[in-house]
Amino acid sequence: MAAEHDFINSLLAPHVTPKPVDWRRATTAMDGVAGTQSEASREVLLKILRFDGDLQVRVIANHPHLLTPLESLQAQALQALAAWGGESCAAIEEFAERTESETLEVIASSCLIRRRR
Amino acid sequence: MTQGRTAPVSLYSIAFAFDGAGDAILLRDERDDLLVGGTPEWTAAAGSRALAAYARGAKPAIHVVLARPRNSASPGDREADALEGGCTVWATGAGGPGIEPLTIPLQADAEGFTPPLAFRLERLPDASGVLDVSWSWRARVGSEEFAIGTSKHKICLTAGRPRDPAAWLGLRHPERVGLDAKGLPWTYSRIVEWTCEWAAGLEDDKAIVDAILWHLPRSGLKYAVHLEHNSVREMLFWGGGFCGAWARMFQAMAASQGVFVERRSFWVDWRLHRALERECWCALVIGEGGVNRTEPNWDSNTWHDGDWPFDGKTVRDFTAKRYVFWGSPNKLVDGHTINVLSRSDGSHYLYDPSFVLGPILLDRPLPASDPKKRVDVADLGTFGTHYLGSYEAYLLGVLPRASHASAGPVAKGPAHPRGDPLADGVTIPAGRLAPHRDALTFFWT
Repeated sequence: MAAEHDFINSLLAPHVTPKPVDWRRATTAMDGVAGTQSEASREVLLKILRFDGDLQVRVIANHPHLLTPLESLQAQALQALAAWGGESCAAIEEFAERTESETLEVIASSCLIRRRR
Repeated sequence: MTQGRTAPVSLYSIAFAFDGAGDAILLRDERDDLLVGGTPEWTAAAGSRALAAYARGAKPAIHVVLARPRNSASPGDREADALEGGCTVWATGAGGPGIEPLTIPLQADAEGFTPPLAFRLERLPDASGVLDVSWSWRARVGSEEFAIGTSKHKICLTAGRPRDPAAWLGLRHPERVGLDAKGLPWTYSRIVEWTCEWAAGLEDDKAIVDAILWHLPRSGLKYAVHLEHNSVREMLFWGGGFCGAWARMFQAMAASQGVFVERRSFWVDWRLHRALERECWCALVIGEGGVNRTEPNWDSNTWHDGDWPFDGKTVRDFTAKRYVFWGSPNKLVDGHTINVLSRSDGSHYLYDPSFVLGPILLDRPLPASDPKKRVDVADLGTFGTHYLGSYEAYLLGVLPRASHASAGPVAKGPAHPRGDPLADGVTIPAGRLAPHRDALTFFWT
């Protein structure tokens, strides 16, 4: 699991030249992080939601189509955090207020509605 | 025409989308994202640097600055001219309407320029299209007439006033990033130029959107170009995009002609399939290259194409380049984005600009946006049968398979539910799955 955390953290880190990434690896790493309800995983997911800037990555395979790479990470983080409840919901709520992306706002709002029910 | 005498004025600059020009369509240049009307679109020194755009049938005003010849008159002479009753200026048009006469006092500032003078065009044609117009400017002082310059312009005429860009920007707060124009609609110059040419003379919403779709390859933009933000501007700059960007571009193109098309996304639903006891579908797989591509620009893979209902045995191994839109178990991660035109008669048409598909008449509205609601494609009528069945779209799943040589019972159960879908998975044509209940589900936003 540490390897998956490290990998996701490396996507959020600044790079001198964009980091080459097969996006399938990013998605499966996010599956791993989301599937482990540890504090370390929660920290990674919150870090993704709070990330403000451009990912310095160069997708070399399996590029996400519908979303941008950052949106893809944030969509997965939102859905993973929604399952945890508690403080995570506050982070989703804050993200829903702040995001400029209509699509992510819809996903965040639906996560919150589901939790409230 | 007076020969041998210096004209009292010459043409210096022409502004179309000046501040307060109510008829002009506001345009941005994607290179700097600034409104092009911030400075005159035409100058005597540089010629035309930007096109102008109006809704068809407009009778707009333009701002023209004239210059007094440097060697002809002292400030005292200019005052004398003004006392003589001024000068009448107009232009005849070739390729489009001319400019109505305007009588002006020959007053200039200390540098010899008039203030911006509000001339009015003769009425523009009541049909959309692109005019390459040449104006021959004339000035008359008393009984003397002078040629004072020629200007050439590209004027785009839209079918209707452009729509608010908020929909295609995909931003919740465009004003925060400087893309609001005092609440006025705007579009990009290249987009309005393309759509005015492609949809020339059309008025009906659907006819306009159809024409835009069919002419997309002429834009030179490609499918499968990696972008950071999936924005229309980025797409213009880098020459293409993926479906998220293409659907916005298509909205922007339709909006430039005053037509609204919706942007809808369906998301891969990777879940445990009850009947198969396997997780599927892992990905949407597309074998078409997309706009301006003959084939997908991704690496080849060996695919195992099957039919539905899948018998566990019959697969065709096939090596090809295909795009893979990966899902993720029980989450919305990826899928595909399309556009929908809803008409006043209640009909709905689907357009897929990424693969130049459409118009496809939907026999029922697409599902409402709900990231948590799984929708069976069997309930979506022509979306499944006519759209998903109209191109090389597959669903990839690690389905229970007998060995190739065996005719024995099909293995079931979650032996390796995630497996390696690319190596072990079976690709089933989406159009074959579509009519079968519980065979294919998507989430919709």
